[in-house]
Amino acid sequence: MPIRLLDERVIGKIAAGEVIERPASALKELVENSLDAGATTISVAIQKGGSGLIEVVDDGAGIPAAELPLALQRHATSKLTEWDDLHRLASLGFRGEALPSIAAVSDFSVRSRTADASVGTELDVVYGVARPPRPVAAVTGTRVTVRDLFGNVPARRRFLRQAGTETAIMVRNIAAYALARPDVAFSVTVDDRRSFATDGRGDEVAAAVAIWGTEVGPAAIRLPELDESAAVPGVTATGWIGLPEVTRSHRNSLLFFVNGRWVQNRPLLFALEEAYHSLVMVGRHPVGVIRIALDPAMVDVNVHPTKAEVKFVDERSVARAVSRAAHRALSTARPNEVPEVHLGDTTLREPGMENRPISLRPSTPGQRAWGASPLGDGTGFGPRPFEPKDGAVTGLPVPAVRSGATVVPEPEADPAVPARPVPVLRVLGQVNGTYIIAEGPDGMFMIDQHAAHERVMYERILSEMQGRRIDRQPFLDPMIVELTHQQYGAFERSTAELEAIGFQIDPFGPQTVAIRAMPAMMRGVNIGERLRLILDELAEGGTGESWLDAVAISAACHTSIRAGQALSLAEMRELVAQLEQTEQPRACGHGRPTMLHLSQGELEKQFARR
Amino acid sequence: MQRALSQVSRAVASKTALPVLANILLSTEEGRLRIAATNLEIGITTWISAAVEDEGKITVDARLLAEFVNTLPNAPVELSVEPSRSVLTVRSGRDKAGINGIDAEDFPVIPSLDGETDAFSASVDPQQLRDMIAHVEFAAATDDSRPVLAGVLTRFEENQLTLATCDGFRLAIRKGALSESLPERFETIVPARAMREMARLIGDATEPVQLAITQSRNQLLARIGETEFLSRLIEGMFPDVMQIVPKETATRVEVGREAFVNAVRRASYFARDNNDVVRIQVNPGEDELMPGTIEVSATAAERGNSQSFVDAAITGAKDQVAFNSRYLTDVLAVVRHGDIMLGLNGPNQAGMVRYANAEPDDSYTYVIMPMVTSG
Ligand SMILES: Nc1ncnc2c1ncn2[C@@H]1O[C@H](COP(=O)(O)OP(=O)(O)O)[C@@H](O)[C@H]1O
Ligand SMILES: [Mg+2]
Repeated sequence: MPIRLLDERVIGKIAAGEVIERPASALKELVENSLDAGATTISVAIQKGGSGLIEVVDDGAGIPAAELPLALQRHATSKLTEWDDLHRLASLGFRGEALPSIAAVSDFSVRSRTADASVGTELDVVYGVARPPRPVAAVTGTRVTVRDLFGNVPARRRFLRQAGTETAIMVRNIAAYALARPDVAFSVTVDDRRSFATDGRGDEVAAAVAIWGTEVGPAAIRLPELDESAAVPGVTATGWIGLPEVTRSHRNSLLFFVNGRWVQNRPLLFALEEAYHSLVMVGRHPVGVIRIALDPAMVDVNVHPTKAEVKFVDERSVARAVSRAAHRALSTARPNEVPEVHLGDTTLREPGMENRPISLRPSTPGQRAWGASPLGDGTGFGPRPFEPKDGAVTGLPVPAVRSGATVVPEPEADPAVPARPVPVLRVLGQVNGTYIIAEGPDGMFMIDQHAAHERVMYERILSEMQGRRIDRQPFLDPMIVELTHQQYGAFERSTAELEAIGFQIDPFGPQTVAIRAMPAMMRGVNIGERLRLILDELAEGGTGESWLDAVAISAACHTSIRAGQALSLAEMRELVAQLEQTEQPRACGHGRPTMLHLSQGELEKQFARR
Repeated sequence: MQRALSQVSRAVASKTALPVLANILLSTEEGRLRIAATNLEIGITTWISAAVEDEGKITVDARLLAEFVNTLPNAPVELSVEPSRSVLTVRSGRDKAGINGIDAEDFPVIPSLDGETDAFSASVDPQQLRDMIAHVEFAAATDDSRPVLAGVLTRFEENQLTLATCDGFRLAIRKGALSESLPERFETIVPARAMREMARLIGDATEPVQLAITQSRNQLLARIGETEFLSRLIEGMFPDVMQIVPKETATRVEVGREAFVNAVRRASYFARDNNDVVRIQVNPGEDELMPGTIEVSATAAERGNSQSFVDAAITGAKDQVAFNSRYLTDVLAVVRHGDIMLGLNGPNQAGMVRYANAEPDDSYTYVIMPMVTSG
């Protein structure tokens, strides 16, 4: 479609606003233009936080020489003619105001050549003043160079954050595009240093590995196609999410794309994180790239021209699709696997190294393969464990997790070892009154007795609540407990929830309560003291998807066997047996791991037996 | 000496910051050898006859001494201490050991019963006392939520001794006779753990046990034959247990001990996975001549369920109640003879266990709070 001026009515209907408010918004527009032009390679260069230079070079269709001046006029676009089109928007740019807006506030230059032209054309615009276009030698594609952004708008310049911050925002944006389009090879250089580069082969996990590091590769689990009963009509969620072992302290590595457009949407985040609930520690966030496809008429991308926000006509069903897919993926992907401990390559036998601390990191066989791969050049080009797929954005090879281990073989990686559920364990003893040591079919297991018991208690509370059959043990004589102000506040807020899990507690004078009954399953603990701890945690906010859940998690935690409590062999066996029967034996309600695994192979390696 | 050492060693501290508490005190006293140990919770002192040549005292590692002495042939043992060096020399036949010790001056003073300075004293039949302790000690609290509940309320009143325990969910009260009537009432709380030790020390003794409270009123002393037992006391107010005991029971069940014990035990295996819930359904007989039955049942979601029927003499209405099986098996383990009286007051009021034909009928009372189940 040739570039034409938009009808005035259409201009009015488009959400206006400042398109270019910071370097990242300029870059975003340029990259979107390149994608719209069908580029397969996009190189981005950033200098001085974008204020120095932003340059985007693509190998897309290019702009015909005759149309180049038009491209720099406001509301000139080749992508939209009628308002109705806006509702069925497939391309990313549509307002036809990006290039002129950028050109108005920078030392701007665009050079482009279409495939059927023999030469390219270059057009410079200095702070809105266009020079005549001139022919130049160029390869097919477009190069847009933006120097000295906001050089003529000092007020805007002052408004910018530190170069580092602006750069981080830009890199994160480009990363999002690179993840959205693994079929496009992106490379980003910041102040002449390579930040990341994807290979453009279409493998979405390979793209994530290039950007976020090797550990996400083997941790990626593909979102399954939901069967008919579970599917949400009109919405599909594809992509991948990470195993609970691979987490971040931020949500930057958890991206959602709606019809190919990166969006930030809290309900979707929550729907996804809820699936990890109790598997991931408080304050940690999973990684993943989730693509949502739905009828464009069911989503409004025009909420704000520069912010990645969307409005769904039916937000709940979109969230439901995400949540179901994530639940399914997590429960089918190695549901019971135990994190494995690697003692690293610390060779204790090396002279002078005796006192070097051994670093323990939870890991998986797959990670081992990735971790061992030669990535030393810092290009971010990891091994490519997956066969390229005809350039299209397709899912992961199945099973995703194992493929890393098979393609990049490592001496001790045994691809034949199946995923480990919690195996049958033989309890050997206790360390520090806190960790149960057990022998399994493949090496040694270390179990945190408190976390393990907490998991058992938590699931028992849940199952009793689900069956509506909470057993209570009333007191002969109510137990009077004095509370602090905060504890009493938490009690008042949680009376109904405490009752639901089996307590019966009544107010009894100022900041004092009478425990009349306790949950039968909590027998044998100092319930007054434990109630105070539960209320302390709740006063701090608790953790859980609902308040009831927070109360249940806290109650499970504070009525569990504690660290430092000596257990008999029989008690330890009983606990391990109970843990084996839980649905999520690997983490307690708060998300801490319950067990670590030191494999036979690792032991042999460390003892130099092989 | 072997016996004395093993008796006393129960009061030796196992883990202690104070090394001398891991030792045993040996001292000559009025022509006998005094052997004592304490962990500051309890203390045990015993005297054995000895030919004392020179006075002397020392403390030595309790385990080492006991182990050494245990392997010696059954012949007199000669003990000597070199005053200047804290070393105990043990000689027997051709065996000899020198055990390094700690000066006896470092050992805590263990008060002894003297009859005059004690604040209070009474005497009681040893086997009766042991039996009384057995009837109550298990119902003391094992957690430290309320320190007094980890103790045994011990009350002397006229010619009666009352022991009571309560862990919040159940209570046990046992009454017994004192050898003589006392001029004043006295009440204290003895740690249940100490009571158990005392019962063990009593063993099959036949001489009356002399109980006393030290002048400082913070320790209990018991003389059992040639041995003295000392325990610290728990300070505080014990709940008014008498007031918790139900005054009457709506349903009274008399049931053969053996049959009931077995029914409860069978159910308890199934109750294990279900919060130990055991249900008791009381079905009175159609008329005076027909015996009633009680049904004892338990369900475990995964394992299955059990039901047992036991004939019983029932007065009162049909009733159903759920108990924690442990609370029942605990009491049924100590009620060793005769029939059992089960007094019930519906699913939400405390129930009671007594001896069916006891005289007086409240010589033993065990009260349990039922569980509230919604399944
Ligand atoms: N990198 C590019 N490759 C090819 N054509 C481009 C490129 N960048 C801009 N154009 C052309 O210039 C027009 C104006 O771009 P822009 O101002 O960003 O508006 P919009 O993208 O909303 O159409 C586009 O419609 C497109 O035809
Ligand atoms: Mg555009």
